[in-house]
Amino acid sequence: MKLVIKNLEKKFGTKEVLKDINFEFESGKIYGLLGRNGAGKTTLFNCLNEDLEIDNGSFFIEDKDTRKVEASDIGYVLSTPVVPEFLTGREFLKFFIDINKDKITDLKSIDEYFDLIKLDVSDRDKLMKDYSHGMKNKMQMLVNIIANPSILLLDEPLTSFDVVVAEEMKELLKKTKKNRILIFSTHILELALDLCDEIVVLNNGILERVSKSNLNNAKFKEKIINVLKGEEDA
Amino acid sequence: MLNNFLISFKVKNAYIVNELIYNISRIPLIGKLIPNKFYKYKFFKIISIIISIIYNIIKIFGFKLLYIYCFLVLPFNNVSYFALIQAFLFLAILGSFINTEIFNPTKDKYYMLILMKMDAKSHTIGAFLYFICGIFIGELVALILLTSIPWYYSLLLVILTIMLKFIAINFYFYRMKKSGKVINENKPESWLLYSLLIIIFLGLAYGLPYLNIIIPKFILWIFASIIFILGLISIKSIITYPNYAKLYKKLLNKDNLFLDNFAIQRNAQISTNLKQISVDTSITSEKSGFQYFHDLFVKRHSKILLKSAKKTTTGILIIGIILIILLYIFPEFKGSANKIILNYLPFVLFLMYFINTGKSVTNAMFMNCDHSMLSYRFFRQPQTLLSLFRERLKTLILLNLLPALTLSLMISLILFVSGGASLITYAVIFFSILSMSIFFSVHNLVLYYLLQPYNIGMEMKSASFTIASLITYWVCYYISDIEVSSLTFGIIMIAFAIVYSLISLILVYKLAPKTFRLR
Ligand SMILES: Nc1ncnc2c1ncn2[C@@H]1O[C@H](COP(=O)(O)OP(=O)(O)OP(=O)(O)O)[C@@H](O)[C@H]1O
Ligand SMILES: [Mg+2]
Repeated sequence: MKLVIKNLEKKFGTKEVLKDINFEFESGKIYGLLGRNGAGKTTLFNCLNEDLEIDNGSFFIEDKDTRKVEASDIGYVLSTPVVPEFLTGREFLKFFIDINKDKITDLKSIDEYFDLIKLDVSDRDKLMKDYSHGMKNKMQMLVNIIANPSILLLDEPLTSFDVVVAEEMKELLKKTKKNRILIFSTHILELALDLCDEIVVLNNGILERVSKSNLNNAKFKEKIINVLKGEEDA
Repeated sequence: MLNNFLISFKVKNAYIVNELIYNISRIPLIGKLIPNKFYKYKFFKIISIIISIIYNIIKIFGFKLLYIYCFLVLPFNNVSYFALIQAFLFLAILGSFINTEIFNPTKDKYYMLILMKMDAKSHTIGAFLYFICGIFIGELVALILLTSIPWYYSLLLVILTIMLKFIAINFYFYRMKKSGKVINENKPESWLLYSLLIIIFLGLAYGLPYLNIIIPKFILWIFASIIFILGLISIKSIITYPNYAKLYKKLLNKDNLFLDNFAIQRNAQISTNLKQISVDTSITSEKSGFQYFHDLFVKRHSKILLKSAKKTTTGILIIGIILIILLYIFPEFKGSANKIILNYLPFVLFLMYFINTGKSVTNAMFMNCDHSMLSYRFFRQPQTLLSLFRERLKTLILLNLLPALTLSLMISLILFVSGGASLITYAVIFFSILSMSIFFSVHNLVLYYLLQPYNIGMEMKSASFTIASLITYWVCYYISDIEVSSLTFGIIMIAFAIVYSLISLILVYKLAPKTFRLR
């Protein structure tokens, strides 16, 4: 399966944030999306999730045949996690599972899901208004993983996790990448190099792959930074 | 200092204008005409300066003219100007403690001192100087134009007013040093003392002239001299006061500021909204899916959801019972009471407009639920959205039914006590009130789903929503004035409520999946 983006454009007023995005994302891979502040990473995600209307171009899923990206195809973890704060973690999960019963393939028990994200037993029945930033983030991630979407967009997901949890989440992401496209934006270069199969840079409204070819890590890093700076041939 | 002052003027200018553009750009159709670059247009900058100059002139002259007119011209007729001078002085003493500028936590100060980190002292003194000049010019003009006080006395009075402010500020400095607490002129330490002082000084200002007591001239002169000397002494400590920065750091906190559009206010609001969530751990629900979700929302927010319904119900009950008792005591009014009820049903529509709790309920829904849930795509799916809409509509109708039932019961009882009517009239009145209640519930929720008036920052900033609300209000107001028998009106109302509800439900089903999202 592939996610194909063709000539995607997005303007805010006269400001062209996404100019001419052409890209094919393949399933089974984790893509690290890098870009300077304000480059348009969040905007790209919002477009793919149809939170924003695009000005031009198209994107679709190419499997045996091509089809539109449906709501159930996409999971989107926002950079600032939002959860319904009047519910407990358990209630939120129950609600989510209730209404998505027919879409979830290998249904587990709620506690098994909690175990997956290593949420403390004592926190599971607390109202989410008392959750920490990282805990909310975990819940949001979990909800997006349970439904088993074929495309998972993660906007700076690991920044609020402590070191241990970040490692666990990395493992979780690696586990879930099978048969699915994972795109995650980050500002942490090491993380991108460590976790991702492909590095993609968004610069001046254009998305391009930075191939590692036969460079070692240090050289590769240098190359990425140069691309980010906009000096490709340096 | 002048430089500082100009900067603060410019910043104030900029945010007033930006707010204006932002609001205009959110009106449908017209908003589309405004290009994004608008904020940059030179032409607009000039207009903005003109707007804020006009705003400042209104502030300086308009308010002072109004003040003098309301407090010195209206209450008196045919008194000697000495009585006016005397009243003015008492008012000035009161005013100097209530309005010092320095102890007033304003939005401007927040922008300048906290956000822009301007030097507290020079900004404060600059702004204070501007304030004093405003009083000087504005009050002087107002006194000369509106009262019979000769210009030289007016001049003296204005100077004394300013001196009194200096003294008041100095007094507050002293109080702060003593108590270690920050003084906020809008939040007195003791409301009792505050109200008492207000009553005493208003009493002196207005009571003495009515009793024909005029304080002898020489006492007034002594008083003026003392104030003048104390005022002059106070100037120095205002200028040299070293702790303005500390003062404002404490004064400009979120509890004191009446801010309308930024993060602090938002955080304050979020935390108050979160506080409304019941932490009672015994709350659970046996339902599933949306019903489960909605059920928990309602149970955990039952306090705020029920609050106003309970209040109005009690209010209606009490007023109704009092009216019934009155009709027993004074039977001669029965005839007219009966007539009123049979002819003024339209007025009840207006009443129901105010009784309906739709707005506070949708507010809670947005703040504590939709604001976060709308960022989940599954939540925005038409099916999901509409299932939840149904649940919410049921709840809202039920919530509003309580006061509506009480009201129709009370009106029917009064009708019965005051002489009765045909059975069909009872039925029509009863059901038309119910239909009004349902109409408003539907109306409020539908407006919320179709116009979704909040932005991501949780501010209610939608021109179309404001316009729709104004139209609703205006229509209800207009209808409440027409003369038609309750029977006719009731039947029309019932029919209208049914048709309106059907149409708006269809609209929600067609449009809400597109319109109900974060902006
Ligand atoms: N709703 C909007 N209206 C106008 N301009 C916007 C809007 N949303 C984003 N932008 C602009 O689009 C550009 C890209 O923003 P975006 O949030 O996508 O950047 P980003 O790559 O996610 O940055 P960061 O790394 O800081 O998260 C920015 O210049 C921003 O000002
Ligand atoms: Mg971003």
